[in-house]
Amino acid sequence: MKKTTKSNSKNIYLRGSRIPITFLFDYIKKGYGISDFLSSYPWIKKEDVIKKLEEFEKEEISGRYAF
Amino acid sequence: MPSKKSKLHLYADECIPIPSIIYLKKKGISVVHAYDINFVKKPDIIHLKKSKQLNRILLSLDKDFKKFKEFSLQNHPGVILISTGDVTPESINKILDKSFKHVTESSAKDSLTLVTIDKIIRERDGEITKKTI
Repeated sequence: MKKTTKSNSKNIYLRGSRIPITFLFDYIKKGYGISDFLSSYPWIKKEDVIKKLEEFEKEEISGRYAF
Repeated sequence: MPSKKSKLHLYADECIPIPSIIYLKKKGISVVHAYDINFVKKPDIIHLKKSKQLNRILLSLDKDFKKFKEFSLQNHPGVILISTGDVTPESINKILDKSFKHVTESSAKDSLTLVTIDKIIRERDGEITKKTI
C-alpha cells in the first residue's frame, strides 16, 4: 500500500487511492455514512478511512473547533 | 426503464461513484468503470489514453482535466467533467439526468465538456461554447 500523499493541489487523498478525502466529507455533510462512501469506492478499505480520520483527530486544527 | 438505444459510450474514471455507474446503466447508457477493468489508482494520462483506446468518452469529476495540457483531445472521444457542489451519487445523478439530454457523442468528440446542474460549457480547439440548461 502506498503512503498517503499530498498532491500539488490542496486535496488530500486516501491511502492507496486517488479519491480526495473531501469526497468523504461531502458524504457526511449530506447525511451519508462511511459505509455509503465505501460502497461508492469499493477498493478503498474501511481501515484506511478510519486511519485518515484518526490522523485528522491528532492534527492541531481539530482542537480549535467545537460544537 | 432502459432506453432501447444506447446514446453514449462512456469510460468512467475512479472518481465516479459506483452507484452512479449503476444509475447510468439502468438508463441504458453503456459505461465501463475503471474499477471494472482494474484501472483504479492510475494517473490522469492513463485514463485519457484508455478512453481513447476504448473509443469511449471519459467521464470524471477530476478538475485536473481542465488544465491538462500534455494530451491533445483531437481525435479523442472527448472528456465530460462533472462539476458539482458535492460528490454524492444523489447530486451527480441529478446533473447526469439533466445534462445528458443535451450531450451526444458528436458534441463530446475532441472536446472537454464541463457539465453543471444548469450549464454545459464545451471547449474544443480553444473555442468555448456555453449553454444554459
